Amino acid sequence: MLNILVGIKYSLQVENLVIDPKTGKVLEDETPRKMGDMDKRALEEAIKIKENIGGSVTVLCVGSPDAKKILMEAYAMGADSAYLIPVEQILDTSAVAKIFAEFYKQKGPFDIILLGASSTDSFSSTLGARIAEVLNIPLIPFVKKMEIQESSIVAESDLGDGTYAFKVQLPAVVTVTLEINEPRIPTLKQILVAKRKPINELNINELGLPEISPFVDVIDVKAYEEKRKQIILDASDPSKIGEAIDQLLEHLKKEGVL
Amino acid sequence: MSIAIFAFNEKTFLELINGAKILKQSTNKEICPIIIGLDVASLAGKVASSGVDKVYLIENEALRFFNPETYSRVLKTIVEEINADIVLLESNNKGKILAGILGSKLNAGVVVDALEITIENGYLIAKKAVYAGKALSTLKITSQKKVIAVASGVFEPAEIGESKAEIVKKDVDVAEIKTKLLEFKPKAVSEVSLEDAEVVIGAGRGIRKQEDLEPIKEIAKILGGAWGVTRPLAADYGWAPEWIGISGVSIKPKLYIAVGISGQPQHTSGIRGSKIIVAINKDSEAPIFKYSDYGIIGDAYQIIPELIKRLKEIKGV
Repeated sequence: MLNILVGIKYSLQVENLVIDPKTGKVLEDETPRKMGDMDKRALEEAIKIKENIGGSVTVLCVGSPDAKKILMEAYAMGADSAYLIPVEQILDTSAVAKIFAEFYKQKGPFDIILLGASSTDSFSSTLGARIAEVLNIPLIPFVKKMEIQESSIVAESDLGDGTYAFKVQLPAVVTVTLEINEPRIPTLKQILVAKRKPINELNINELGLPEISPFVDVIDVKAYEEKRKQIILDASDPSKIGEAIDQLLEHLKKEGVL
Repeated sequence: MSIAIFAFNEKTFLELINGAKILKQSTNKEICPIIIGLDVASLAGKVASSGVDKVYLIENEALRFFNPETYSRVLKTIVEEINADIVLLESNNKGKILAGILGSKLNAGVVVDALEITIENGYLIAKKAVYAGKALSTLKITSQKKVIAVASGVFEPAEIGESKAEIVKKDVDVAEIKTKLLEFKPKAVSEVSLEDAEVVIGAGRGIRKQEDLEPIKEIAKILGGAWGVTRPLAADYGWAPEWIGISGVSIKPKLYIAVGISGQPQHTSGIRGSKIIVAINKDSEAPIFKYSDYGIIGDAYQIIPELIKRLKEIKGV
């Protein structure tokens, strides 16, 4: 029986960013959100472990009060309990790691903390490492395959230059990549049942944490202007292909890239 | 106070050293690269000749391969010993893990994927791409200690000169490690590295079979460049060991040609550094065209053979 904690982020949908046309600033409050892509896989992996060897899956989201939506989704996928720690200000990973560590101490102990390796929006990939270090437990990051072996985890870590197989004793933090699994899609019935389950709300004061102040402040976030030339030639009629290629190659020669 | 630097190879060390030199102008901190590994004395020698103040060298059999626990322990020990308040790292998977661990160990603010670092009114200000590369975030680090992982290619590499800084050998206890490395399988190295290639041809899901990558590879060969694929082709179909995109390899060639690639944010954020982007796609609505300088709407299977023919004529091969 394993007690698993899964951290999920109420991430911006980066493909639907809302941008103020006058200032170029990203309007985060108006941009739709969803469960982070890798976080969803962390949840799927936790549920698979529970199904295979037994245990319980607790999901924690530190985010805006609307994040209840993704906690309902976590219930529908198979989580056993869901917690929301609502925060209004923007927190950096140092602050979020301290909140996770405190939650772990008070609601745990947990055997495994599973997280997405990188969030879908800020993609910093540092939260798991920070949590492991605050709790002084081992970390296996960027995991594409994992296995529980009695009281340890063996996992394959994709660190860019190759694959590292690491083994650590539980408890441990594991962060997963998109490759680890394909998350299940809950049935309508599971979604309806999930709606009746409670979302436990805890505020930071209830956790007994002192004032949490981030070490990194966001001054602003501005959309890049797409400065590409966008000279698009239509060769959907195959007879135009030769001409389109000629034009393209002329352009590329002028750009000095051929 | 000093600036500690750690990287996994010479090129990145030299880039970070140049970044540190810019910070030194306004802070007058000593630049102290930290070399970790096994048989890395020659790297230490080169780094010591690139205009730094002091080099720390830690060699140990247990440091032959990367392990987040051993490497972060060594870095933390040296950073505290030399009283560094700024730590510069490289921003890839390994560097980001070290940044996170060191952030907690040193109680420091962390910024990864930094594209710019400046000091304004005594604060360190960093810029970083966010939201799958669609936006630029400006961040202010308010903690006393700061860990910054810098994206590749942000700084020009420092030049190696005549004068050589002192190299100080250190021993750090890396016994009693909880994270055991069972096996390391290095990634197959392609002939031309995607990251450094001047021309890159990318294939997406518009390429339906693995053998259809051959013409893509042929274009790369004619143009002396590298070929790559999008995430599904590598991660799901296993046609290549790595992919182009924010979760894979970010590229910055002079010319990038995207073939049969729709242009998901994960991909387009990894090609932002390209000088010229060309897209070939039969779907006129494909988002990739918005990120392109030039594009051809049409069937890649008909366009590519013709393109190969013309390129051969131009290049005389």
